[in-house]
Amino acid sequence: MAFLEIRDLTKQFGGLVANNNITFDVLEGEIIGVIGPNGAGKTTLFNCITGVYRPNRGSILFKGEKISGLRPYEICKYGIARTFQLIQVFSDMTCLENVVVGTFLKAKHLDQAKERALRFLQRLNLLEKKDILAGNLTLADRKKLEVARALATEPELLLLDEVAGGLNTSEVLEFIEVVRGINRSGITIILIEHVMEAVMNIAGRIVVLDGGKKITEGSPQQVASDPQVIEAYLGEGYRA
Amino acid sequence: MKPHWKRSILYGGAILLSLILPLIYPRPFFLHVLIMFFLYSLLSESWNIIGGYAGQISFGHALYFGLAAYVSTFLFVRFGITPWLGLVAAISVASAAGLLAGIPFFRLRGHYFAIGTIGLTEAIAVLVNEWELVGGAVGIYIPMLEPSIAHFQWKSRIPYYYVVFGFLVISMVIVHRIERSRLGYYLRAIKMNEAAAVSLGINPLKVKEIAMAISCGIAALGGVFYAQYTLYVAPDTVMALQISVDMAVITLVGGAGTLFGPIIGAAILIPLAEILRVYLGKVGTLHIAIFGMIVMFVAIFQPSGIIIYFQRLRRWKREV
Repeated sequence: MAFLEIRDLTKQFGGLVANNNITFDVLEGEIIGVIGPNGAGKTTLFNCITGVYRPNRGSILFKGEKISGLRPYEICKYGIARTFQLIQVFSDMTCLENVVVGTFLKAKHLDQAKERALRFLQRLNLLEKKDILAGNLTLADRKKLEVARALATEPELLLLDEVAGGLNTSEVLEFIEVVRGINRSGITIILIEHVMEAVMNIAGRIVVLDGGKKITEGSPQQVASDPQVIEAYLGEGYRA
Repeated sequence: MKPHWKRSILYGGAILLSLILPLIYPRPFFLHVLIMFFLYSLLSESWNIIGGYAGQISFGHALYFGLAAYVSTFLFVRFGITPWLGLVAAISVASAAGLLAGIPFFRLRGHYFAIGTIGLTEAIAVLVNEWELVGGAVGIYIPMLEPSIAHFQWKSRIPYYYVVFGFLVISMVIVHRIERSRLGYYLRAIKMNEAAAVSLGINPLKVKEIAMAISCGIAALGGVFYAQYTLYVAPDTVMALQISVDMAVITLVGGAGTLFGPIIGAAILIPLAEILRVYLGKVGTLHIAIFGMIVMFVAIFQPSGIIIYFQRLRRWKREV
């Protein structure tokens, strides 16, 4: 039994098949990357795992229990948290308050929720910005805040949707360290990345989607040299 | 001095002043204005939970106010049950009605939610209007009995003043507790971004329903008080759209989603309305036009409510 099992997952929007018979496993403790060109179905896959969408066919099992079809807030309670591709912080709340919303899932009262929230802010190097409104943060800080908020629900599995997108090189490098640190603390991570280089660095395994289908999976080296992947990213003319 | 020390003194002073005010200046009209100020502060605090913190703009909150007024009045007039017990029944009925209304309405968003709440309240008001058992369009008059606590009736306005002030303090303590609780954070999270809230394990329907039950229970305090203060209930006095609108307007003018916003809004609008009603009564409903002007100015210049100026003043003082 794998940590997370995705079996024949299919999600259709009218005539468009956004996820077509996708099957793969996520192992406990790993960092797995999901890559693919625009429109490959990466975010739809995340939305199916986190319950935003109900799959048309197939199933998702987390630690052996079927979670597909559950509501997002129920799935969160199973220990699966996420960030969003388009930032979804609570703009009119301070950084601390944003994270407190997360820690309140497990904390009993406000003092405890705040105390735990401060720890997550510290982990993401946001401690000195705790009283700043989330809407006034830079893009990089808002992305970090989303990660802190997701971690605040104390998940076992964390889904990161394009955390490196829109960041400059030094910010990407900082994020890679952050993601590694989270993983070292025992949290399994699924990473969606549009930019291949970012994910090649940290993911132990990579699943490649194109046109809603899984075209391959394997180590970063295997995937990078796979002719199907090169074709998906660069077009047929670039095949060696 | 530590800030929370200063705050305790400020709150204590405000409560003390409120308690001695009717003793040093017991003019009936003055007390009436203060009673209406406290009543509308209370109703707006009730509305604030749903409309302010949770961001669900209801224009039907008069329903729960009116239901409560009817429940205690009916029990009192028909069965001689003291309005204090009637209050317990009224809170239960209003909260239950709010929970029921929430099942369909909390699936609606924005304008549709607002329209739904208006529709329901108007529909119930029409039903009550036709229902002879509860007095129909004529309503129910509460007979004047021997003034006593059990009858919730007094000759002077002073006891009414203390009762409604007590109710207001209770409602503010509840709202303050909500603000610092999981419920308060969850309501604000839902208001700002429901998709993100849901991803953090928040069940929006459940959270809104809990808030609705509390909000309607507080509105019920106001309803029972109003029935006993005026000794009369009728659909067009206690289930009027105007009451729902007033609750919303007062909260929005003062500052929605803040503990003191409704108080500030009521402190500005209620004395103004009562005074204008007396002096401009001959010109009909001119006070509503002036109300409208104030709302327009707040909407244009400070949509977050007048409380913003107080918050800025406090920040400025801290920095100086």
